[in-house]
Amino acid sequence: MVDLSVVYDRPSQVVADDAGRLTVALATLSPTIGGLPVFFDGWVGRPRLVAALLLSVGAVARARYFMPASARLLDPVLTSGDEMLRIEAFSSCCGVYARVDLLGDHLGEVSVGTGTTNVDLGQEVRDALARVDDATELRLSVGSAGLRVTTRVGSAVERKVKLPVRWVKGLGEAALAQVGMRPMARLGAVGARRLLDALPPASSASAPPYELVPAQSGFRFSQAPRSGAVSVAGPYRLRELRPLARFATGMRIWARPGDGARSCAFELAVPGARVWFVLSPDVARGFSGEGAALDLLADAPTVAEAVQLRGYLGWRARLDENELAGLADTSPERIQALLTVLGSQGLVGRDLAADAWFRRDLPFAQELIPRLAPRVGRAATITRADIEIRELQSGGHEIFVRSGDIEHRVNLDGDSASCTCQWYTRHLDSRGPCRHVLAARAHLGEVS
Amino acid sequence: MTTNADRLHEVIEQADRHALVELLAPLDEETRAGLAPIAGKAFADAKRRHDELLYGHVPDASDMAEAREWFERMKTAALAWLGTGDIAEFPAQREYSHPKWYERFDFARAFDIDELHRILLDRRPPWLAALAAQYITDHRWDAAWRLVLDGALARPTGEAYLLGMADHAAWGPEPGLADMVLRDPALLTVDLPALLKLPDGLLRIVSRDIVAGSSARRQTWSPVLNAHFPPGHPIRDRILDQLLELLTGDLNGPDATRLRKFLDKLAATPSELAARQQALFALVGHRIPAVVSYSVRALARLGRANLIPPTELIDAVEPALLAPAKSTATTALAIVASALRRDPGVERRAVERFATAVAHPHAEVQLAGIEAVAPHLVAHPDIAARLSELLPELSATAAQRLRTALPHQPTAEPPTPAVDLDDLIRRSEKVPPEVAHTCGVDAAIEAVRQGNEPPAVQVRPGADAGAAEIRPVSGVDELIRVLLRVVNGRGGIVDLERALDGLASIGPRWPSDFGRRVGPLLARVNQHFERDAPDWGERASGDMCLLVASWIEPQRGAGPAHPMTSPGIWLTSRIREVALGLGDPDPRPLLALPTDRRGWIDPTILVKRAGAGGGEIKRPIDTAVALARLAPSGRAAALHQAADLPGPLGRAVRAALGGDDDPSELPDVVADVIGWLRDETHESPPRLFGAAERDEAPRVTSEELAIEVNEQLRHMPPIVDANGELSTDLSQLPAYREMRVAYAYECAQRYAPDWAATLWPGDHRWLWRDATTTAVGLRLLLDPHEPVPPEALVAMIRHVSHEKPEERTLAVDVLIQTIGDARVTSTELARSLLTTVEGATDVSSARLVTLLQETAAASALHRATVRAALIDMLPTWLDRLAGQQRYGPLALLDEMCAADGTPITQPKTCALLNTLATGRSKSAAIARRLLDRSPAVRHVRSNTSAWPADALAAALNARIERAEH
Repeated sequence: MVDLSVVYDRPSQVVADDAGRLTVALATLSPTIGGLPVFFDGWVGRPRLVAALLLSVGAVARARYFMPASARLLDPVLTSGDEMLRIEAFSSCCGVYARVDLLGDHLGEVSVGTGTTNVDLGQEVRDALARVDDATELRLSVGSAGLRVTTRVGSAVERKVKLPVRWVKGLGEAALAQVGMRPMARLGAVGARRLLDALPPASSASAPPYELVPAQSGFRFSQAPRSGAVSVAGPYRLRELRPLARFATGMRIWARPGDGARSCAFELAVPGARVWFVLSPDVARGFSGEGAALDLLADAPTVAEAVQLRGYLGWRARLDENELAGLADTSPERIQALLTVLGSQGLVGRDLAADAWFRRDLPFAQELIPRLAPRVGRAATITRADIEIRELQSGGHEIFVRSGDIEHRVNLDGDSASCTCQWYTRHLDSRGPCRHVLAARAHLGEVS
Repeated sequence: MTTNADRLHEVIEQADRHALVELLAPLDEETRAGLAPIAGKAFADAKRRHDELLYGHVPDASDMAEAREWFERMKTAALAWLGTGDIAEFPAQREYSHPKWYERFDFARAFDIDELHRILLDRRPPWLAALAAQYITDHRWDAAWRLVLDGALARPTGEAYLLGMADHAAWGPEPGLADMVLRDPALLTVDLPALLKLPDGLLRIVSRDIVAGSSARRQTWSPVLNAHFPPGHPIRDRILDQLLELLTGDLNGPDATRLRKFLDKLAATPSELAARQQALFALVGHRIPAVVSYSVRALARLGRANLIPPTELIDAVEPALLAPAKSTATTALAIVASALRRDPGVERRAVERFATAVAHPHAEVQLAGIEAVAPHLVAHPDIAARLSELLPELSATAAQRLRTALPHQPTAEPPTPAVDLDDLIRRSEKVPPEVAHTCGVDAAIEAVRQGNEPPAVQVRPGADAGAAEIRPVSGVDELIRVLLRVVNGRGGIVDLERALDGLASIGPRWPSDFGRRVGPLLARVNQHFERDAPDWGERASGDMCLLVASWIEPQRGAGPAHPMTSPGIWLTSRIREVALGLGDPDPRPLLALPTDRRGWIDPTILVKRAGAGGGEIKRPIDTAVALARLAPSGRAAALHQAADLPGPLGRAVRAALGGDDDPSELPDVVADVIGWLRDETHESPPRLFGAAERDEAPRVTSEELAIEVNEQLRHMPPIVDANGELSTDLSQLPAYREMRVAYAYECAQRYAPDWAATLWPGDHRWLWRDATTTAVGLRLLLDPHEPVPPEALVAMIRHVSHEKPEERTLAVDVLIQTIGDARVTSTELARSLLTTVEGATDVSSARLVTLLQETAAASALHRATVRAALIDMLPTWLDRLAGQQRYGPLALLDEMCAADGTPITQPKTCALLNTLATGRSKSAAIARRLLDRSPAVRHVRSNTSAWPADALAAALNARIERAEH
């Protein structure tokens, strides 16, 4: 046996970040950014590809596919753990969610700890990345204080920035939009390049969505409705994938089975990484308002249970619902519901390839729920005095709900609900219940 | 004795600026200060008078002339003020956000006057630097530079001056930058180096030349830089280095394009490029295709000049081999091939690069890659094996070529999908003969047995009508829900029809708590009215809001009646008819509620409705529409059931169903439709829609006419109204009257054409005469039961020139659908393509090629159909195309013939190809390849039609499926 002595270049210490929060800077994580330890660090393999991946995510963060004059948000989120680095971003219009999963086997000489940070990829870092080629060594250091990109020529640092609530909301909504997605199409390298090369040009936001239909040599974008086809609103929003096309080894296209407008995801496989572009069902809006978890979020005990579940998550990059069910002494189905609540807050993300949730280390704030799900907040403002419930002879209930100057008529019959408000008239059941239905259900539950 | 003050008044009055210069030149500062109040007051007075004349009322010609005189006095007074006063006291410029921004007159107007420079040189006031700063802010950098040149101002070194030079030096027509540099060499020796040190300095120069310099006259910097800094000059080197450094960064597309164009203008020499080869290597992997293209072209030059070692070159261009632009990828391939010729030792690396290019999405690059790699595959079996895995993804031409190039792969074509024509024929024989005939199955069997393309299926309108039932609303609550969807713009045609029928049948029969139930609907309608008070007939959603208002208050009426000369007016008249009956205490449902989503009404259901409605025709338009919507099938049985229907309504229904009843006593609108159903007259309504016969289309759009109105308004004398105020009567303007007519025409054309198409589901020809209605009509053609007349097919082809990409895609979808369901064959397609290329100049050949290419990619049947059509019409088409434009159609034909292994045997087309086959152009190479092709073994027969078995099977299958459904 040989005794091995390890000497660290500095002692472990407690340090404070910009917000004054204390954290332990372990000696084992010797590199630091801004005095805080890094949780991902090393010289990456395939530097040109990794640089291109980072630039593509950064390009999405800077892109706005709707209302181009508005202010932009430019902060990709980086999450490290389980031998993987995930880099996520939204387009500024929040209609495109992009994520790169740098897979452990191909990362090169790196140390992968656990943690999440978010930075703005500024011009200096982007210029440094753009100048990386395969002969240039590229070191990525990601820590709670930000990101450092180092080449042999020099290094550039991006400090962690405040994550806007809008992005937290978007992360949650994008995750929920992916629940239930299945691979609907698969393309080889040439097919993937051909599809990206044939993206229809940008058009007005009100243009009808395209359908992805099979053709003899792959797939084509069509305007003819076809049952079961993947609906793609504004496929030009995939254009930031084009610079990655030459690295592509294949592509999968994901969507929920069914018809009509819905989110879809494009997974571009490149050596050592997966690139995800999830598109919202409508160019004119993000993933907001899909209402996938409103009933759960409106239920206070469920939210409280989700808060407790967070303690069991540990730092598993892939969350096993059965294992969590055992730890939390509940059923896997209940865990799914609770993860959905956590997902709506951006605390867990959805990895379609693994068919699992993954942890993202964001602060949980129960008081944010009304901001993250404003319909739940507005429903809570409707009091019992605003409600009149009538039982219908034909079954179900007719409930008049006063909201402002207008009294809406809600029909509840089992799981089905309808309302005379503008939201329901526009979207029917496709984007979750309206606030009147949420309030009517809550008060009907109290009465019965 | 005339004082300076008098003289100043005089020169301003006379607007004599030369005299002003003479007057001010000898004066000292104290004297000038004494004159400043006079100049300031003169300026204010002149401006006030000018504005009164121009903006106080509608000016006449004499006002305009007098205003011009005051304008000159204003400018002279401004000069006088600048020559006597202090800049700190001058009035600030009025912002464009000011309500009276048009009265903006400021000292900047005086900056353009040459005399000001002379006044300033004579005076040299202490605030000259501040004035120069204002010059620069106002984009008059040249004026500031003149002060420097003439020694009135020390040469500024600040960022604003330097960036202003980049942006606005030589802004006016004279002097040009070259002249300025001759007069002031420090511009290049002092100012330019300082500018290049600023972070944005070079980018501003580039932007100036590329953005503002689209015309040669505006190209300011690059000619001067080229003239003064030859290759090897340190400043030129610095500029080249900076440009490449900027390009290697993460740029946006427009900036990258500008930098690349500027680099092109500097025309770097090979040795200059060679000295910067590392930067060029970095650019090859850039995200922006235009940058990659630049670097590859530059490297190609260096390769030809033998200035870079082959090994380095081969590695450097690797990322460009899959560049999206075909030309970039093929140039990169050529670089590799050239490097290999120079140094055979790099064979392995070169072959790997060739193989990389084979995975390019474009057939042309794939082919070029295969041609390059083919001679080396025996020596590199691993690469051959890798390439063989790509076969399923390659284009037909590339796959065919690769199969012949692979050393150890079977050169035979891959197994075709099992197509058993005999099975299909046996299946088709089970179809009842009458159905088989209607669906073209019998003709298809005969054609398929001979290996020929079957003829198109002739679709009868409404043959499958009634497939989807449309239910009337069940009561007030459902009607309100439907109306909410309609007024929110979410209701489709079925909702519109159900809403109309529901309103007509419920009318004033309201429940006791109606107010509570209808509240949300009224709130929504009121929101519409608050946002935009619609007029009757402008748009369907507006009319439906007005209709809801009439439901609540029937006395509101329903707008004026109009002659029904367009489909839109038929709809509005129908809505009006419903609105006028909303107060009827005995409300009745409509006759014309369709029983099918395309508008058809089941004849037996119409008879039932007519029986319940009594014998009177209470709503003539509703009755006429109901008759026009009668589905063709089941009319005989319905006629039998209608035998006892009483009154005029009974007569109308029977006459429409094919009975002998005399329609002459019926309302005209009903009789017209019956005439159309009986095909008695060509004057009946549906044939006239398209407005070509009855309503002349306006010569220009209403928007263009609005500009003419504005123009005519300027020459129109103002009118004093009864209150003594100035006003205008637009109705007196000819352009205004024409604009109103054009607007009404456009409203009628745009008025819900998809809904209007359900009024006469049996006759949609009017849709194909107008681009607006064509867009709607194309979606109807996606229905396999919709006839495709020749004009529809031509309209569809022309639709590929639509500005919106989704509309162009729709045209492709329609062609794919109509070929796939057997309504269109190569005969109809060739005829329509010929009509298009012979008649339309607005459809580019590139758009046509894309249409055919995407259609052919849909299936074997589509490919065979497009190929046959293209062979037929190719001579006519190519005859109209210039040399390079011919490549697209020829490459498409080549790809399709390769996929099917089909030769060209049509004599006229062969003759044409023979004429094209000489020379070294890409088109000539394709023509030779087409002529050399021999037929594949998998064809049913190898004669001229050369239809592959899978295409024949798909054609027969389409007809069988039609028959079975």
